[in-house]
Amino acid sequence: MIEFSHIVYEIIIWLFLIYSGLVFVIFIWIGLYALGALKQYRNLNTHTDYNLITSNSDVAFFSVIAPAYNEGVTIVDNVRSLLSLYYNNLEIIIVNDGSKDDSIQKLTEAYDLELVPFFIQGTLPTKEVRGVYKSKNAAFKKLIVVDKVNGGKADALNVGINVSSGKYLVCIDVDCILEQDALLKLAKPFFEQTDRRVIACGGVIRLANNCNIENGKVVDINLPKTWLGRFQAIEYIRAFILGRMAWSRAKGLILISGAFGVFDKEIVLACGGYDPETVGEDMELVVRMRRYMEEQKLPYKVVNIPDPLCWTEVPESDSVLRRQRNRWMRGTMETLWKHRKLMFNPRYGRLGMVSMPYWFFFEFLGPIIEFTGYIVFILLLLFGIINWPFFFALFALVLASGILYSIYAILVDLLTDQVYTKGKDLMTLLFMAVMEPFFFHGKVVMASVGGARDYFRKNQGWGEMKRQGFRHQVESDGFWKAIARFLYWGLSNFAPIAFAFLILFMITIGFEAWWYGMQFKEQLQSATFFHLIIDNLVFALQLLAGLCVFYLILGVFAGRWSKQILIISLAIVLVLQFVLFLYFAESRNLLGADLFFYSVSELEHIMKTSGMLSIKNILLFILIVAIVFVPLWLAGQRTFKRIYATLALVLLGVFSLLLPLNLMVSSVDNNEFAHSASLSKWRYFLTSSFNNYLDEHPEISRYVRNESQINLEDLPEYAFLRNEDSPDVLGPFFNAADKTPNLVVLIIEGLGHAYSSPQGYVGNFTPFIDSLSQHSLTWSNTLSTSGRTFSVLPSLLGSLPFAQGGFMEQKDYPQHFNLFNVLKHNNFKTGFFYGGDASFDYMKKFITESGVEQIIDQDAYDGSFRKLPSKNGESWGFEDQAVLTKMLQSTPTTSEPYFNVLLTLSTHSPFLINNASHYEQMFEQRLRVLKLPENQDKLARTYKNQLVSVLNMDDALREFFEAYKLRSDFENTIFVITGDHSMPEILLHNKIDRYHVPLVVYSPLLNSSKQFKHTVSHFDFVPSILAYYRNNYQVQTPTQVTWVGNGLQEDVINRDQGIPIMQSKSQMNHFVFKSFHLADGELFKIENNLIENALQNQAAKDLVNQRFSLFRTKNQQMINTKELMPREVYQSFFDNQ
Amino acid sequence: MILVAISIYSLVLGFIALLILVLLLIVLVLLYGIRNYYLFQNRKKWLILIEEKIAIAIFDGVNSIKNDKEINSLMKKSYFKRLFLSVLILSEKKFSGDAQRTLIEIFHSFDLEKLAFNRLHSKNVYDKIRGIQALTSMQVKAAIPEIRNLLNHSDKRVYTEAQHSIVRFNDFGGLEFLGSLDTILSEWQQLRLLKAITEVPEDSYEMIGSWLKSKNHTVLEFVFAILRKFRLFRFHDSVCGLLQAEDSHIRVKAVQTLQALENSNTIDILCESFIGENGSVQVAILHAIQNSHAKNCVPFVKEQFLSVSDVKVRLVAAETLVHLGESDFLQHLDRQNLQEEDSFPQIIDHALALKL
Repeated sequence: MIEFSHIVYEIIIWLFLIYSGLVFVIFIWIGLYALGALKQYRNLNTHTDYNLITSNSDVAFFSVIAPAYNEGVTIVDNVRSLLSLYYNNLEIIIVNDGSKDDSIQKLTEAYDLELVPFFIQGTLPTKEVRGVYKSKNAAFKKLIVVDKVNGGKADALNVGINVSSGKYLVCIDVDCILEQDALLKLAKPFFEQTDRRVIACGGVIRLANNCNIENGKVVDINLPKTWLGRFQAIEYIRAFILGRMAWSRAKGLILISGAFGVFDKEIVLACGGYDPETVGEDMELVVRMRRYMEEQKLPYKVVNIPDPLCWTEVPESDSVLRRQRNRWMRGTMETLWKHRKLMFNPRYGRLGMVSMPYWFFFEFLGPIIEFTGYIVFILLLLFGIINWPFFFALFALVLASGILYSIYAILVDLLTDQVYTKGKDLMTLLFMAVMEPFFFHGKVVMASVGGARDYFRKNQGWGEMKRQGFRHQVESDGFWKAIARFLYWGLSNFAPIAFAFLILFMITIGFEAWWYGMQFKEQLQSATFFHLIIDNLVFALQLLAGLCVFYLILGVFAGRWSKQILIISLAIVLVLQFVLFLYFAESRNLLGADLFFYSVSELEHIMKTSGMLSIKNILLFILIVAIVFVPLWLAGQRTFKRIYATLALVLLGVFSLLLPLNLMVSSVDNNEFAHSASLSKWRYFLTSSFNNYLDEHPEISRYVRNESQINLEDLPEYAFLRNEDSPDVLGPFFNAADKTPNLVVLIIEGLGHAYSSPQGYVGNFTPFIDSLSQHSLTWSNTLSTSGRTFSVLPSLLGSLPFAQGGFMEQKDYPQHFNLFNVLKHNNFKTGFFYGGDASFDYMKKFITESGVEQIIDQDAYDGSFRKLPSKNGESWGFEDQAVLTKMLQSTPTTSEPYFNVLLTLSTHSPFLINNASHYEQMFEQRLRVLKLPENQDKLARTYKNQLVSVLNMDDALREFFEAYKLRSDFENTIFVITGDHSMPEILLHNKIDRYHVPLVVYSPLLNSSKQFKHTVSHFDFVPSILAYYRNNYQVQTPTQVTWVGNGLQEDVINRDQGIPIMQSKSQMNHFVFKSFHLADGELFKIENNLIENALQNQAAKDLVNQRFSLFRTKNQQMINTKELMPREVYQSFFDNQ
Repeated sequence: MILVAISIYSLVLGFIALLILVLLLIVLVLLYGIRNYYLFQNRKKWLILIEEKIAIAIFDGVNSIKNDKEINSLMKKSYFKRLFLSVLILSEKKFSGDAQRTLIEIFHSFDLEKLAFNRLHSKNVYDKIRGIQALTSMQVKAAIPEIRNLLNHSDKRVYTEAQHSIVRFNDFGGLEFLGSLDTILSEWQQLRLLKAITEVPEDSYEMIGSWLKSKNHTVLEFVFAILRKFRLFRFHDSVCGLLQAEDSHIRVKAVQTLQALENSNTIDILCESFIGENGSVQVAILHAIQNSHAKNCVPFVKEQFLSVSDVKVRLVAAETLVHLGESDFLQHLDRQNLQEEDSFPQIIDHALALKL
């Protein structure tokens, strides 16, 4: 199994690589495309005669709109600069946006202004206009000054639009200095328009810092003095000369700088003017204009020209820069959110399919992804999994690419001829390009991330204000109105979180499907994935519907905390989804209520040995928690305006309860594993837990479960008790021995029929056991009694019922008979041998209480024995060779008979063995010998690790028997070999395959061998082996017993009792009766060799259900009474010497 | 790597290869930039030199520049030659008369005609345009047939330059292409062509009449501009006919043209067409009345001021009344009766504040 953390690591690395690759490609495109655009512009405009415009009075009227807020220090000079613009049909509208300084007084004095009656034609909603001023001096007749109440830049611009009379609007920052021919150059694209309407046009903005300015004109261009200013000089060149020129040429430009841009007034008005609710009003307006044109299906373009037309001062202090970039990021996010409908919407052409996605993925997500990259880097550093050559190569490449792009931009900028042409400036810029990644880029990234954070915080603030409003209303409204408001509040708040959860949950399901596809491609079909997605989608909807109700109820008591609780709950659901599906992928078992049957230390042991509890995985787990929590938290800051989305979700959840999902499952049921894989792991876990609860509470269960119940009162006082009359099925096959034979039971972990028999669908990978079975009594169709190890000892050695979560799980065992206590009573020496911790699954408790004299587990081995290889420092225990050897060493050849039980574990997940390469070679040899058909060969190779461990176990058995043969007691010993269950990690064709194990009884005392084909179970072993000893060696056995099984002689078809099976500690969900197998409520017909097919036969199903119910009731009786037999029955046997 | 069959080692090698490529590109870009920088510096120097030498030549005659060793030596450089030609084209726009003729002499004396033709024959669109511009500025009439062929060039930039060139060569006669023009004549191109026309020969009136029937709106707009520029009064009635044009933009332009071609009937015709027109045409008609100072229209304007619902039209009507000397009418209007509509008092105040 590939380590989860490694896969996650690779996914992260590849995501970053792919993203970086895309950035790289886009920058190459921008660089080349912008160069073409620049050359094109220069070629077409070198000989342009702009006097055409100035000399013609018929040309269109332009309105320059300059909002001003507290610009008193420079406003007079700035207006002078505007008044000197070359363009005749022009008006200059200065909008004083409620300045608190003396701007109006200064303008009045400088330009001889007077308050005039002015009818404002425009109807865009704005803050109140206090007055309009015009100059008494005819020289300033172009000037209009509007004084208004403060409302922000967008509001001021809207006032300017209302006042304006021009065909085109020139929106500028009043502190900008315009080139005198700026309007001529910007007007040209509008005059040149033919088939496509030019709706907006922008020019290049340059840095005025450190430039010499005289009379509102830049007369000497210099680089800024500070590094911060110089870095921004490069940044502006990259943005305006490369970025905007490329996007303009590609007809994808969506940003005309708010500092200087010209707009078609008719379209601006049609769109409703600037949006005063956004801090990114410039970009938002262009997007809205483009959106309008697309919706009206009108051909248009947004143009950028490379001439440096506008000069502005950039911040030269960190704090101001941070605030500016923070604002830009918020503006970008506001625009993207407001126009989210456009994203990947083909109706909006290039705008929806290219420009908006570009801005989302690279302008908005770029800084966030980069910031995430820093965090991931730190985490990887902490994990210690950074490949340094890889890191340095990539780091150098990224740095060099960034520097190349900046240098390229600086040198392409030379084509514009007019800016940084001094040799010294050029060299300084090139130096700055190299320094920028180290000293500037990070600041911009952090400021942008801060902007993203503030965007959500701001919304959070609004949300809180709304809630305060709500509470205030509640006090004054009537009860029903208060309820309605509460519901509105709750439902509108629930929707964003619910949708975020739904998206994240389905992403995790997508990840789950991808994971299965990668790990188990051969075993799964597309229908499995389809069902997995549908089942989980339905589950998520149902969960959300339920949680919505819970959330509303909680809201009544916990108020705003209900939202936090909801977010945390959903985050836990998402994180546990990973845990549940990874557990399944690792163990091939669905995790259900059996989780609750393990102690914390057992769970820790399982996780450690499976490699899941590594530091890396824990840190990754924390990372996943953060990854799922953050989007939920961010979504929690938002509120939907309407409640319909929530109502729709809840209704979908409710209606989904009616979906016949079971019918769909059967279509993917090509094998048991595929069936389990296709299920929602969460649904299974919850259902299993619920069923377990019902099992524990029969008083509730009888009302909830719609099945025939047999009353406990109808049962005899000891339902399992019967007279011992099991026939001696083994005796005829054995020669009589002089003394009572020893008994050695070898329970092999995960020894399934599928790969230990020539008839197995995987192949025969136990050549030794197979050779041994040729000389043995073999029951090839034996059923284990559970899908896990926890039941094998009580079932095989005691034919005992299950109780609640397995017989051994009980706090106090009811008095019972088993092979240990019965044979010990007959003077057998008893021993239990295990390589791991015998207290696991309460085995030690069971064995100890059974009076076993010799218990060997992991603490009993010295340094001469080898442990199984560890994973993350944890090993299950000692290898099978060690355990088998230990048994040989610990069992003296005395005159008294002995009974030893040995449980192996080398074939346990994660299937790590010593000397693996040797057994891998053996695996290849075995495949050559078997000459399996191609499909089967492929299947076997899929489970190479598992089968290699099986070969290792088989080889250990071979060595064990060879060593045993040398002992004197070998000739007088009976060996029993069986599996505790089949490996769920290996493909299960049918549901019953998980329990299909071999049962081999071998002894030198055998007079003949035989293979039995009929179906028996582990429950049947004890009655038969004790009958053998009783009949042939006068071993005392109880006269009354509580065996669940009847003995190996009888096929299940001929019995009145069935075989109950527990899939896991929490699931008693299988029952074999006659030739039927009831599994999770589905009925199967068992054919020869335990091959089964689904069967639709209600009468048969009812019959099996009835028998199953009978067993459950009997089992429940034992749980309730904590007794299997009367005390005197037990006592009389053990008192009888 | 597990997800993709690429080893980390291969990836690192790939990155290093890319890094080397990027570093090489940095060097190449720097070399290209340095070359551009020197070209740019030379260009600055050469521009000053060329402009200086051309100025001297204009005063001292062509020989001063023709025998200039520095210029002759630099003329061997193709970049300098192209720059020289470019300066000549730009200078031609600034000069006229003898100075312009000197420029043409300089052009021929350095055999720049060959360079201009080479560029005209180039497949590169921009070279072709530059060739047209050079041959046009330097009045190389031999190029006319080839340039005329370019009127049907597939590239818009080429055929618009050819249109301008032909008009510069043939004056009004160069506008023949208008008769069959089905593409849009941009406002910019109209300005260029209009500037290039110096006179309208009488024998062209028939042609103008046919253009006025063109279905190409931009041709109509351009013809209106010609009529306004050259005050071709004889087309007054034809323009009146276009007051019924389907496109309101054409009707506005027709009103503006009639204003330039005004006769005794014009204002009455405009007033007649006022009712039923849309706001922009009504505004244009009111502006025409304003500019014609037609006192006889005062009752009509007063009526419109009081009756129209479009505030913009009402505003222009008020302004027109002020222009026609009817400020008293506005001042003495019973505002009490007009209070129902908020815009009246403000419009009146706005109009009365106009400085005439």
